[in-house]
Amino acid sequence: MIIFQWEAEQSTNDGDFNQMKARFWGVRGSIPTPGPETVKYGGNTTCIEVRLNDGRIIIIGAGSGIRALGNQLVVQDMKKGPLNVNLFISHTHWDHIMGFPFFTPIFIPGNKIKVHGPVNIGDESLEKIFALQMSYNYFPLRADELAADISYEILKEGSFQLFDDVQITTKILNHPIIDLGYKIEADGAVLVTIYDHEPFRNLFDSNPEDEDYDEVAKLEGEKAAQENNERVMQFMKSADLLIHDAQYTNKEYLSSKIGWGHSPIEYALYSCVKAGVKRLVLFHHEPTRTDSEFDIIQRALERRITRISNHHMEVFFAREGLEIDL
Amino acid sequence: METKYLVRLNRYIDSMPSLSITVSKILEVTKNPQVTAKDLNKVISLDPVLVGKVLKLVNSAYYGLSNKVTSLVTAIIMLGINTIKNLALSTAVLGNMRKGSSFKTLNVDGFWRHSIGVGATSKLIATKIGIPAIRREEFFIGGLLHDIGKIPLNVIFEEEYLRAIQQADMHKTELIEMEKELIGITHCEVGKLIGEKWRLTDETYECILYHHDPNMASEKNFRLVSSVYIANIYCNLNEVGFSGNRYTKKIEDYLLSSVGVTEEYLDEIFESISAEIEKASVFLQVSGQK
Repeated sequence: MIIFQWEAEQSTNDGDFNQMKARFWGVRGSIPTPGPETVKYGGNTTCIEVRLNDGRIIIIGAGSGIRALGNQLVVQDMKKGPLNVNLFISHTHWDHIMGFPFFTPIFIPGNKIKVHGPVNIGDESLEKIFALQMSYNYFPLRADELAADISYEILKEGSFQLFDDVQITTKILNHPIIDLGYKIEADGAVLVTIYDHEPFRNLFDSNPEDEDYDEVAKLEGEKAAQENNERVMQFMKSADLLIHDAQYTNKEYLSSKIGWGHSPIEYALYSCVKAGVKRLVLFHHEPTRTDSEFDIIQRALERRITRISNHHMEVFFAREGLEIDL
Repeated sequence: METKYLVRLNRYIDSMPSLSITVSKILEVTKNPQVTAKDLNKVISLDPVLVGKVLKLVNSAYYGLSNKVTSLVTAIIMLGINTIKNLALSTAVLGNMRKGSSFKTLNVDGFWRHSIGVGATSKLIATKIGIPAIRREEFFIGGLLHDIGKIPLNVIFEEEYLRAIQQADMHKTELIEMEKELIGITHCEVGKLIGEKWRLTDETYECILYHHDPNMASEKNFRLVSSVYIANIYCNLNEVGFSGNRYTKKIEDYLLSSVGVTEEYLDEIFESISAEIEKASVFLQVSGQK
């Protein structure tokens, strides 16, 4: 059974941590969209705060949502001393790094911030890419003027121990740049992020009547797409909470968004059912999506989903301020 | 070989540009916002450097694959159109940044025709000997990349390479012998450096390293490497392009029979190979260049 819990249960855990928890500070894709039509779900681009049971801080995404998170960290956490933050970047498209220059902890001496993220095709360092948006033409301060101790780590596909009791696994996804999904295993729970991601598809599909029809390429393309989708499926398999790209409806996707690197909501839903995910958060919302459109989509999904009866999964739309215990 | 030359070779390999002959087509294809995977596959597969760089990226340690990817189709699906497009563009632009420096001694058009010719011949041999369709691209890629080591050599050792070609011509001997004598490293050994840096598959790596001596190839890749060996000699003898090697030995009968082709078959496919190269030339709009 699929339970649409559109208003996800708010965490009751206030400051006294027993388990990992996730809080959403930005849920929007592509560009911030403040305004009266995005009040309920929020207009900031992606940022997820992950708290371990002892208060250690992991942040996924440095979209515009990281600004408010940074301010809270300064006011609350820094009472106890300097911060030690691990920031994971899915990829370096602007909506996922734009908040970094406004993340107040980077200006405060003593704070330690480690930025983890994927390589790019030019082998440019993450440091250089981050510094670029803080160069003279774009920002009044340069990256080397930041007072915090900031370091950068390029990640490849695989697993590593972030701490003795925290394992991170990464998976390269399908997006118009090298993009990583993250799996965090800690406190006996598994949190997975899969955004910005579009299902792999056969780019060499064609009809035998086509002039450039190539059967070998078609078969090989089919196999490659299937195998890579299966790898993503395996990656999400053990998730207690999966945060999945759901930028479009299937109709929007098929009409004009194929190849843009984002998933239809229906795909996120069905693949998570198939992978046996326990809770699914639909994330990275289309910037033009208004609060009222979410209601329409919700009703349409509820009608369609009644066909799936043999799996218990909770599903809800991510919104700013939502906090979930794992 | 002196360390300073090795350093220069390695540095060149790290930023090796695509062949100038494919650049204008790459620029045209990548400028199109509606570019398809098929368009990209077509242009990339005509450039040994680009093929190598695409496989290098997908087989890099960043992708935690247990098996290396050998096919461009799979690589394009995994990396995505935009990443492939930008990789092709940045590789092409590397050449523009050092205008005229990618080929100093060898004629780029001759080299390109030879590479495509050996790739096409190897693939035809694969078809003839019953290699399954899905594996024939390995034969094409092995042939396309077999002489890749000549690119850095003819740039870094411009004068020596010219002398090596002249001496090989004068003494009616193979170029590889003169490379050894005058430069101290052969194009196969430079190809080995490239193969290691690009993390090429064993199959392609062995074609590059052993295409002058297929008996050194592993048992698994013997037929593949021997096919590239045969294709290379065949293209040299029939002047399919020119990559500096005018004199070459005759193809040994035992190799022809171990692979499973005959000289008669090779004679039969000459027209197909020429047609393949001409088709590629027209596609790249370089048919006017000689």
